[in-house]
Amino acid sequence: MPTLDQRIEFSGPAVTDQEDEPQQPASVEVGAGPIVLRDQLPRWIPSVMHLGALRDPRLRLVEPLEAAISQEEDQVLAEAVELNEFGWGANLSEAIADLQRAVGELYFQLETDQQRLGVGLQAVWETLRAKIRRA
Amino acid sequence: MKAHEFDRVVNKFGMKTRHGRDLWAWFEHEGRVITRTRRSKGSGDLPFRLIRKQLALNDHQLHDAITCTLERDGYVEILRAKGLL
Repeated sequence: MPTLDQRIEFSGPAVTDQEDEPQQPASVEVGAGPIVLRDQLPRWIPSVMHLGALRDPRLRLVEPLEAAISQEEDQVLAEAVELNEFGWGANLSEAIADLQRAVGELYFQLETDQQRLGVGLQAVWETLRAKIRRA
Repeated sequence: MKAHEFDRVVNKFGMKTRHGRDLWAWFEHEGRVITRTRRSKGSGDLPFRLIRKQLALNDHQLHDAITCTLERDGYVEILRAKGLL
């Protein structure tokens, strides 16, 4: 029965012992233009995020809150479309944190005014009530 | 959208305001709260598109509000036409 070593086949080019020719370090052809090194990584942001918490210990999300993420000029925007609320900042973290705070404030504001909301804000309040509980 | 443009719209529409971490503004008509929006107190431009959505306006209408050709009465008519009043 063949041993494990005997059963392994190398699919690459054949290797020979070439001790008489010293190995040269690898080299890369480089064009004549300037070489530009990035000082930061390209920024990648998701198009949608689902938030599981708000930045307010008095409030608890019982359903995830969807946030549409976009970029405008040098800002990142996080929009909770179903609440017509948004947050923004210089980066994704700032935008999400701003949205979380805004939703918390919106909850308390609409809760206070719930008896006198117009039709548009009444719908927002119903959505907030379905997704948020007081802790 | 600049902060001073936001403030001009808020004043032009006679919106009520509350100062907290942000400046919150809401539009009331006959005792009911119809629309609301906010701006941060930090520097930098405000997101025109999203503030426009919160105020239930289109691009042209918000531009008119910034340039003072759309006032409170006109805004009420826009909201009425949209069934928000």
